[in-house]
Amino acid sequence: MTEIAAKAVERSPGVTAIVSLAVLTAVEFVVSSADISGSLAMLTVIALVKAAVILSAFMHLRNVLREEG
Amino acid sequence: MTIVRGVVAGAVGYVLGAALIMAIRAASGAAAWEVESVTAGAWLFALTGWLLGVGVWRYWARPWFGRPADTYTTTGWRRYFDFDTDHKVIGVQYLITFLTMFFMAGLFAMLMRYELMGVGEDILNSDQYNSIMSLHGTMMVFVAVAATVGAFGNYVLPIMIGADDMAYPKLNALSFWLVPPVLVALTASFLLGGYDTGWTGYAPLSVKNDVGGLFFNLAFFSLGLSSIVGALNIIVTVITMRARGMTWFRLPIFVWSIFVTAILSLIFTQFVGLAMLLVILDRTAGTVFFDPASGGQPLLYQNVFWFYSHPAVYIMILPAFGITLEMVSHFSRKPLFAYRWAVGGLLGIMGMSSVVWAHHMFTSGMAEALRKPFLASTELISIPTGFIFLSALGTLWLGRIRYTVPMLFALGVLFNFLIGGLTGVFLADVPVDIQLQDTYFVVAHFHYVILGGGIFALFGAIYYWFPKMTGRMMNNRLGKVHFWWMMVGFNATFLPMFILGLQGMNRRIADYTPGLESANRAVSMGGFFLGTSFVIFLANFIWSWVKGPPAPDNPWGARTLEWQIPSPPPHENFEIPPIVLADPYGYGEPGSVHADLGGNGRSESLEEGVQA
Amino acid sequence: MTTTETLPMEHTTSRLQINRIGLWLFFFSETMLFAGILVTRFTLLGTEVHEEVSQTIGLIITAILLASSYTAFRAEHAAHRGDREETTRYLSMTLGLGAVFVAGVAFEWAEAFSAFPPGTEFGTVFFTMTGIHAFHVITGLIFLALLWNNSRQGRYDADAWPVEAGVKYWHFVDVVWVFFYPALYLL
Repeated sequence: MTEIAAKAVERSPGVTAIVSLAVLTAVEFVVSSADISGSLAMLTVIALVKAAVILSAFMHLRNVLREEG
Repeated sequence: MTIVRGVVAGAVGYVLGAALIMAIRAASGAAAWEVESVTAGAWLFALTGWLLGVGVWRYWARPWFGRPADTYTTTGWRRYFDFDTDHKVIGVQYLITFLTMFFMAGLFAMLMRYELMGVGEDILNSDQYNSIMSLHGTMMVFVAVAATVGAFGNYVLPIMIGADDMAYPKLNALSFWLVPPVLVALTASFLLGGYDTGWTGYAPLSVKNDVGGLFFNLAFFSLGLSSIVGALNIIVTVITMRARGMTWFRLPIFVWSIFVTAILSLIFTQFVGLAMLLVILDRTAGTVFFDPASGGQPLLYQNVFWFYSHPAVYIMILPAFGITLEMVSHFSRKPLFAYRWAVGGLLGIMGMSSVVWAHHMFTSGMAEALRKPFLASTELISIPTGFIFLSALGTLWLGRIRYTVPMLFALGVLFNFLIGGLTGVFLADVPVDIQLQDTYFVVAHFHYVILGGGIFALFGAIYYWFPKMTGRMMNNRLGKVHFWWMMVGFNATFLPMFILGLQGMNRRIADYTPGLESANRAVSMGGFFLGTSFVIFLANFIWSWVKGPPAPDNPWGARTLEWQIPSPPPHENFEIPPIVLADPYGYGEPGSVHADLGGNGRSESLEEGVQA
Repeated sequence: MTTTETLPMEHTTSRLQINRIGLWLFFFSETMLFAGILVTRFTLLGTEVHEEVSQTIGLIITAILLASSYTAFRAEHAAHRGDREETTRYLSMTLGLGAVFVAGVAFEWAEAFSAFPPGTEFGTVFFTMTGIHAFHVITGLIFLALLWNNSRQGRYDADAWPVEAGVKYWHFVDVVWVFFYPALYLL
């Protein structure tokens, strides 16, 4: 990674992702214990969002065909 | 030597794994030794040990521990018994291994037909018959799934796209060396009394039968691992290793067919792995997936199993389509007709293959509402299949056909698969299928598809690429005798089976009602005739490999890349990277050249005549 | 040894790209396995969850696995910058968190054996899903341990690809748990 690109990255990379994952997990837990109707659909959506966060922020899915990290 | 190391390391792995499982069992209060639980757990360790011993450790894994990898020094025929990463060596390893498996399974078929010649249990009792039948089916399915892709997908595909090797040579060797454990497991199963479920291994029977059934599950699971690894390698190779100018629509159709097959394999093989795993867990870990008394569902097995195994039919037949179209174009001396439609047909089959599986389950007790959609989807899949046929027929039309041995086999595929495909339409029809389920009509149908299509194409491919692989020609006259003998024997065996099926002859039985005896005898005679045809092939194959006349670089006058380099090809295939200039099928187009190979003698090889 | 680096062939695709495509195709294939397991779970159990499954342990091990994904990410980030020390440090943290996760699963298994043994409908699904996932976690831990040892000795200073591959596999196992956790504990 070049220096310019390194500077562009936030100082603590991945923090936004891990915080949003933690929040989403908490929401999942609350949705589940609140016993509301439609929780299956909500849990599915939240799981998909969490997976998308990991795939894009942690695993850099968009870089499959590229050189950079 | 390598193999000895592998066996020893595999045995050590088994002992370590067994000790671990036994310790866990003892700790949880169960009897330490129970053959199925211990073996199922230890199999993973034995597989790992075998792979490490056979070469993964020396040539691959040592750098992970900071040591230098061994340099590869094996030469000559010993390379075929070593962890060699040359795709050409691996292709030959696959070919010989699976031909051996094919002939073993063929001998089992002879035994079955001998038993079925007369009413009563003559030489085999019902249990023995079912074991032989199951092993025949399992081994033949393994051959059909892996032989063509493994042998020619490895040997020819990288050369056809102008690459020096596969994308992951070491992974390629690993995928081959996963095959011997499959043979070990099948042999173990046979020696321990076999299994009676057929190759489909339906639960709940497969959960309850003797220990041989477990080894069937382990064998299928291991072959699945090999298929997935091999498929991944092929996909990445086609995506990333194509020579300059080798655009997607300049790929030879054989490459397309193997590519699509590999995608199917990569996606769906996981499901048969899962099906086997769930059965193994039910057998050894006390789970109840398929035990209705405790809340399990036997039908679940059929769904998971056929979700792989119907796409697997296309894994078996798409390479055959690719080979057939390849031969038809080269030996009609015409460009492949409707090339893009043929590619579309392959992709269409791939897309639809995942939505037809339940047509195997019309009589299984599945929800009735699902019958019509699966009837419709199954019949729809004949449309992309039709593209392939139209492409072949359009190429033959007004072609200057050269009836070489490979071409004869390609025409044989077209004839046989037409019958197999048309009878498939009947079987997709729910009312007919309910009558014909589990009869010899089904047996005849899938033999027409897999033996008449897949295996005929495999033999065509062997005749076609033998000169390239060995540098020697096969005997042409013996080849033609083999083809006609096999063709007549095949049809004499399986055409009467349709009638037997319509008369109500059931599959998977050693004995039958006396009224069916004469037809069964006729089928058996046809079967023995078919079986003997392979003696000619074997004689020709072995003799030609040792003593056949030297092959020129391009004995067929074909335009694809593998024929523009020496026979057999040098280690790195091409002296310099080839540059592809036009599509591979430009026969009769003045001045058309497929590729520029630099110093490799392109021009004279194009002029060489065809030995027909 | 036939590798593209040693042969005079030129490809339009670099070794790194080839490796990345292969790794993602492997994930794609594995996704099919886990999808099949999830479908099996819903076929057998519908949308029910056993009341006796421990919500506390479930939440704790989920949090641990998520945290380990973050440390793994930092390890890869450091490896791409060539920072050997930081790579090693974050890899060891990931290893520790992963080991705690496995211990958590083992602890839960011990409890679950009496609450819903494998011979029951829910036990069948529960032990199979957590078992297959834990198997992947353990293989991931073996991978990470090798990476940690090699990174410590500076073998990845020039080429961070092994670290990237191991970490991506770890993330993938985490993605699987993102779907398994609600399917086993929350519905």
